[in-house]
Amino acid sequence: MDSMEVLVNKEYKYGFVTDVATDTVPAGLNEDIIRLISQKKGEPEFMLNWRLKAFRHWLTMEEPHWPNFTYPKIDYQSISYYSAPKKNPKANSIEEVDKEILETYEKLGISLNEQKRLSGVAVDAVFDSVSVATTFQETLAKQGIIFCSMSEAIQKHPDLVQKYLGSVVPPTDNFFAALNSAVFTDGSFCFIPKGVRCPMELSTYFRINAAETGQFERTLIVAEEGAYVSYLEGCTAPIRDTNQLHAAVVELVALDDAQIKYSTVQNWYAGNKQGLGGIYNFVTKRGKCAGKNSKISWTQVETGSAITWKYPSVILLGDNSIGEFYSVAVVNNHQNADTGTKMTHIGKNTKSTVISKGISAGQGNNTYRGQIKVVPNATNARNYTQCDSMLIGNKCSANTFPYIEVRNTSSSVEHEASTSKIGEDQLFYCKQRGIDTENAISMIVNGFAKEVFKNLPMEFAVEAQKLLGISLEGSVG
Amino acid sequence: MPKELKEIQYYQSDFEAFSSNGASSAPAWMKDVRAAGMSNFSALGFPTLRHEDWRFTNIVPLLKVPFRYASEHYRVSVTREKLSPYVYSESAKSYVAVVNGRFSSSLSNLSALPPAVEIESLEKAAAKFPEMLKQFLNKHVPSDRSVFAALNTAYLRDGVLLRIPKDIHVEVPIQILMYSSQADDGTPLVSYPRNLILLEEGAHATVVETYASAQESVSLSDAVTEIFVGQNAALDFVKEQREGVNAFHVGTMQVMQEKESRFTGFSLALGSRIARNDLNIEIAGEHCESMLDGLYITAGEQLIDHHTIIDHTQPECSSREVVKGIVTGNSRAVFNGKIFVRQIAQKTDSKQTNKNLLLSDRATVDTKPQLEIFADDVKCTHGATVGGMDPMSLFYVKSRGIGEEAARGILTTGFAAEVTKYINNAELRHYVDTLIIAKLADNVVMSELPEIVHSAAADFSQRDFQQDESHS
Repeated sequence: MDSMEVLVNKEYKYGFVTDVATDTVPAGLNEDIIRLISQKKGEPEFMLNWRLKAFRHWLTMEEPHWPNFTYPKIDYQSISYYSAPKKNPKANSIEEVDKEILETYEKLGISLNEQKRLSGVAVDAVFDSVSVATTFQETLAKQGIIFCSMSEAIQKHPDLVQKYLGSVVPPTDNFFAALNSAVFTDGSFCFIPKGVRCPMELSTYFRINAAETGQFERTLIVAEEGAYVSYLEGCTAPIRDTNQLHAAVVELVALDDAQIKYSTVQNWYAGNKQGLGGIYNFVTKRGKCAGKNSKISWTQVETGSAITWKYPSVILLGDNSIGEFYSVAVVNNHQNADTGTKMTHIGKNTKSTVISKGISAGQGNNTYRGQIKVVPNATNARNYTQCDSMLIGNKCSANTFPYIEVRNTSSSVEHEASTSKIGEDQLFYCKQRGIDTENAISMIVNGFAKEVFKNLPMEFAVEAQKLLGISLEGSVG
Repeated sequence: MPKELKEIQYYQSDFEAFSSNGASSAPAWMKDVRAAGMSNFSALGFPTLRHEDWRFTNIVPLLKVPFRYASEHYRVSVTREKLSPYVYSESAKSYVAVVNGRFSSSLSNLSALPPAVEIESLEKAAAKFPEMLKQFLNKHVPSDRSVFAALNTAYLRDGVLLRIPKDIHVEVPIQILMYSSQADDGTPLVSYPRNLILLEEGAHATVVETYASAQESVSLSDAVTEIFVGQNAALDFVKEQREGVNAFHVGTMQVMQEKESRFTGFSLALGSRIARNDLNIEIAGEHCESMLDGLYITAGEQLIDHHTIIDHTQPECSSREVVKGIVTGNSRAVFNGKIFVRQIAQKTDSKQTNKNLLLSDRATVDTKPQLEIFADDVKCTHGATVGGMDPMSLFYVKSRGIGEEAARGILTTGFAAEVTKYINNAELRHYVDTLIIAKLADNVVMSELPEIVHSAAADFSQRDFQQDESHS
């Protein structure tokens, strides 16, 4: 087991800091700061009003404390709400992007140079509060696809933004969504016009670099009638002793016959072995199957963050619409994850599938919390939920809190959950076949999470498997 | 908020009258227990839908009724004839009656009970065995979390003490008949019965705890039953809750199991306008077996809520929970089952299932099975389903030449029988099945229950499932 102990001490490899001059607004939150952010981004009047309205509502709200963990009080006045690299924040071409930033992304394995990229993926790179580069924009524009940063969308496509922003997650939805609506700085916007199948994977890579800042990004994806898009997001942050807040909002809108596939590999800094530092990942993600036969599918691999608190949800409004949620959440050391989904069946013949795999190691605390709601008119709604937990070691915990509310007799809702461990005998069996402990664990864990991984785009699936291995290193021994 | 405050004050002012009048002769230690209960109650207050444990159960209809404490001041005439429909035939000579929270020896019949079994009024027992009561009474009741348990503790006075001494096996089922009624002048009454059931080492017993009320009577029964199952003891327990449609029920059952003991509980919930059943088991010794099954049938405007906790605090124990529900009319059923597996409770084997048959589009089921696991070497599963009558099964039965009504009847009773089979005692199982069929026949499910259903159900409940279980 000595080798396992060596592995424990492996550092979070994305934990470096890039030394780049930044333009950071002073810490604190008030209407002037919001005006300043809006002004810095050169936003039209309607956005500023939208933000201020959200902020005023936020002031009336209380921070919720119902999840299955506790954390020190967040001082919203000590956070800086805007931080951007000083030089030329939004470059017109890759060549103009600051060298340090390009190097940062190279180091993270995300090349922003289009020639070097695998041709299948377009990337929007978000560095602290702003988007620094978006690749393949022209290629995509030929098909009418808009893929750009949210700031750019607000300026260039205000009509679309005004129509869809907040239509799925209204600014008053919850405490963190209201906060995000007031102060969000950037994020990705993507619009797939009617009948277009997006020819490549779209992706956003989020990087927190500056200290004492919060990241509040906003992503909006709209798929018109018959459109299809597969979207990926990845995230990392440097190692710091203090906790940083990440409160994002993601909204998806699928019209008739449209499909959106949204995949996340979340690897924010998780804090050290004693639980010091790490990101608070308090995110609101929701999709609306607005049209008939539409489909929204969430796949997430959650390995990072000190605390993950998010429920990617689907509102199944259109008849025959489909919602899916596939999740692997891994907690190690002192991490907490309270995650799951909400499927709200409103249309007729709607279907939802929920597969959640939780892996707990160290002193981690993993919670699945989900809600399946079937309203009286949602005839023939179907849901199948499966949430399995795996415990590694006896100081961790796994919890399941499914809420099922059914008001329609022709519907059927099923929930199943199980808990298991990696047994000594399983490990012994593998080792006896010449497979070492590390590989045996990785094999068992990957088998456990396979149902979710198979829903990830190929490149991501490979990355996710590796990530899972790293997160669990040293947890058995 | 101010509105709720007023209702609290209402119950608080009644408490002052209670503690200064009839109940003032209680020993000092009991008065301390009451005072602590009252302070918990005042601190907790009545819950709204914003309270996680009461998310789906709105108690406003209950709070709207101006219930008075069922003191001697109110005349309530109850006769043997009124109770007789609720007496379980096998317990006809081994039952005690509790009327509006007060033990009634004149309405009880204990002639068939072995003399070793101690059963009497809790109020009298408090004077007779103060040490024993001080040791066991109110030791595990969650009155710091549950407002109604706190309220019951504040009004702690009477109920039943049942003690089965060491190694005594009681063959005859013992029934505790809890009857509530409004006053003769129509005043709605609230009572706070407290039962304490002690099984000493190696004791065996079957206990049926029945909650009933006068049919149209407006009453509230805020009951707490504490059960201790000693080492190697075994208790078969049925809570039969079938008060009338104008009655309200909030009950807490708190079970404490010592090592190598077995508790087999069944909750049959059919009655009341609003019923809330908190059923909690704490497994405090190794190698215990805990079974907590149940069936609720809701109709009309009823709301029946089950909140259960099985807490594995020791290793090598197994638990099973199968709770099913048949939900009809405008009614609402709520199930919330928690299973805790503490860090040292290794080798726990726990299964939990909640299945709901939803028979009306105006009815609602809210189910929330929960697992909280802190140990790694455990087997835990849970599952929940909600659905209407399966059209395939219906087709299958009809293809055998059975009409629509009868086919629905067979499938519905079959759905229920799948859980009543866990009642060990065959006569008791048959009794429970009969009550279920009566409730189903009375309500929208089947306008007229065909004979074939009766005979099929009777056949089913007569089967010896002990055999099946040992093979599985």
